Amino acid sequence: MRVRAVYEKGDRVRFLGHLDVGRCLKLALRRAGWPVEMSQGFSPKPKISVYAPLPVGVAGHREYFDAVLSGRPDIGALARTLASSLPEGFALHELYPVGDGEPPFEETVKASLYSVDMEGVEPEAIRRALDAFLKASQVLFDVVRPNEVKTVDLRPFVLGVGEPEEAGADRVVLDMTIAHDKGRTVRPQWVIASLAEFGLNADPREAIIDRRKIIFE
Amino acid sequence: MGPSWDDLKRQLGKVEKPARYVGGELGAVRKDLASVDVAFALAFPDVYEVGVSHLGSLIIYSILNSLDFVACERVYMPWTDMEQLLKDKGWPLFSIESRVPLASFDIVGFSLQYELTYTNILAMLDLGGIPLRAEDRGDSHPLVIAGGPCAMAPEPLADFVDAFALGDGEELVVDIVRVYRDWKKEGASRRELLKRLAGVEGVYVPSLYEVVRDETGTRAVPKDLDGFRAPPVVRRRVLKSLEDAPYPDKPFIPLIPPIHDRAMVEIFRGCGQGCRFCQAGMLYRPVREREPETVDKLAREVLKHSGYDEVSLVSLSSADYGFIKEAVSRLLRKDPCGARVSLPSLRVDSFSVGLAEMLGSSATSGLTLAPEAGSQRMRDAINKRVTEEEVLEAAESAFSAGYSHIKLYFMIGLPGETDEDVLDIARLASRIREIGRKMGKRPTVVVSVSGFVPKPHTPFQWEPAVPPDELKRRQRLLRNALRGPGLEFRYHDAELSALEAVFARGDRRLGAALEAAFRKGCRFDAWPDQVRFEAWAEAFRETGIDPAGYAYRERPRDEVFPWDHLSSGVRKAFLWREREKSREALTTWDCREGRCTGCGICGDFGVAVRLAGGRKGPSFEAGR
Ligand code: SF4
Repeated sequence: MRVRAVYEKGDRVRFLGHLDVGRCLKLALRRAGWPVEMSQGFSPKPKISVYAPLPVGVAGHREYFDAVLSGRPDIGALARTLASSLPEGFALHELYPVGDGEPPFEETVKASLYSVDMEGVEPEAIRRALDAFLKASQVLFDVVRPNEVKTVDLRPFVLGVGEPEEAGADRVVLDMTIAHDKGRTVRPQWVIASLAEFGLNADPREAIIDRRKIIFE
Repeated sequence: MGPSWDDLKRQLGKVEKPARYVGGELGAVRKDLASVDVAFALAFPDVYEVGVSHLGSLIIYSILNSLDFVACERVYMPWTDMEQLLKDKGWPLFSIESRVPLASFDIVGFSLQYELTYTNILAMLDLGGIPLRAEDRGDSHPLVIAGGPCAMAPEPLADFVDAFALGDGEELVVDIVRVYRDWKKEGASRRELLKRLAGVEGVYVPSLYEVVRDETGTRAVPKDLDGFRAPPVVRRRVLKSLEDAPYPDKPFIPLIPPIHDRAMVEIFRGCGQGCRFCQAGMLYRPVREREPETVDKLAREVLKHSGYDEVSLVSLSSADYGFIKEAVSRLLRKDPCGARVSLPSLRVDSFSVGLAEMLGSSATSGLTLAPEAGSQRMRDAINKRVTEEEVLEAAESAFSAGYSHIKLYFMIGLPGETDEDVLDIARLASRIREIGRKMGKRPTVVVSVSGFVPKPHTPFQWEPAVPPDELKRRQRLLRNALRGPGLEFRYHDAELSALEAVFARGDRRLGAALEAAFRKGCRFDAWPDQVRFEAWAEAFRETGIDPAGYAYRERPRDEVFPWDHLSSGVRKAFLWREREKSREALTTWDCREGRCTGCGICGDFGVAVRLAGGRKGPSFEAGR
């Protein structure tokens, strides 16, 4: 039986990477005693898929993972054991069975809705930079990885941005909807970084970013 | 104050692996610091992933937090990027649990596992807002203590640490916090606290001793303080039994993978093998085994609590445990615990290979064996009691068990080593490769060598280390002899071994060089990509220290060492006898095999070898 969990990668665990989240969930499922099936081969691994990776630093309010279980255990009991086995900062929101006929998860993801929280910038300055960004036909950005630099066009991925709102002294929060295209997507930090080109002076590393939800087809 | 969570999280995007500084581990303990008598910061002078894997620290953390009048929090050495961030923001080094500055704790206790972490200790004190030198600390500052193997020869740190805790920490740390609590309630002076601590068995307070240097060596002599004198010799604390000692069966589980990402159960403490280069083998005597039922119970508890799918049965030489096969087969077969079992530190023999095979690791991973030396003469000299036939037999059983990747650990630069001894390493490796080929395998034999560093409290404490240039020549010799398919060569940085050799047998004068190196920015000296040898050379020069005199000098028999006032329980006369036997390539047996070899600890300290299952240990011979 395949089950899907909607869980939270909360504020306190935002600095975990995708692999760390997978490791934490795997340990929690073992503590919870879920009958997770194992893969075949020399080093069997539990059949767990953690979807739509979030980068280090980004929290997620409604994230998804699937687990393949042997037998047909009671969903309510599974949810209870998992909820009490998760480390602080994680939470379980929903748990339901998924049928075999379902299309692969990543193909059904259309976009992510993020909230971006920045300090020391004027709402007006962000508004102007974002307008310029949205008017551009392409916004090339260099993604620096340890062994390569890859240039991506950020523009088509940014489906929309909300109105920047003041959230207390010197703080601005805005929504940003970013597309997923067959598993490919871009990070909100890159978008903030690219706004330098349009006159915004903000350190993208200081932005606090949460994925509020994943939007499906 | 430490940073608030909101301030911290806005900055952590600037550093590598920010989860190192956030905590929130399952099983971490967070008490209200204001409501306890003693706030204790357990400080580990290396990065988070290394520190959280250290079993000794887990033990101390859980014991301290089990006391209702103590709160113990952790702090690790921030990576260089985080150190910079702390400085940029004007934040002090803070604890993981409550995010409060190091300086606000009552006691800061460092774990001393390795000499090349010493600059990190100074950096942590400095970042934590604590004056570096003990003499500059007053009533408002924390008491700075340190324990672990390096505390048995701690003089290079004597200016910076108020008190050293020697030996097994389980009972000792409780005694220390009790003395501290009572002292705090009375509101007595800091000097009074230090005197009281000096009265606790196993505590060495360096400021209560004068260092006297003469032609016989360097000795620490208790000062006369208005009639009070600290003990002339401080004895290491030794737990009588491991079986009765508390064990962290609900350790905290890090959210990012530690270097040892698995459950751990300590199956025995101490080692009777008596390898003459090995400090741990001398420092943790006598052997004390846990009962197999307890090992089994603890393994299952830690697995259940953690969710790990692997448990490691740890000790200095796990194949020596009297019930090792039973323990493994119970966990894997009789009543499967649902997890893999791993054994670090196996011996070089067929029995150990058989054990490895039981663990079922042949298909996925290689096998590591540590013959330590290539020639029989050299192995006898270091008391690594394994014959060439046994090594080859072990290799043969490994190949027939399905292993094709064999890793061999050796040391070079051992006392009395010749080029022939070094070349014998290559011969042994080739012979093992031949065996694999004859058995129809395509074997890979990895030879990994490190430079020998003479350590205090071992039979080789009188011996010189080999200088880096000569060590490198021997590395090249070996590398050239090891060319060919299926042979791989790996070696440790020769300069790192040299720095370690200076501090391992250092005296109090080295404190100045250490501080100078710290001021020049030296950090993480054990990390080959971080250590800065030029800065170290300058630090030695400026402080008038001749590092060669510490590392490469052979000591005469009657030299008084800077650690002679700290007793491990193993007598110096025994160590010397072992050293003499080494010169004649004579071996000494393991006292666990039935006869005492006269190291002295059992009689002198009133302890005994404790074997599990009611087996009789050796009866010690008093005063040889
Ligand atoms: S005193 Fe004898 S029995 Fe005790 S640890 Fe030493 S050698 Fe072994």
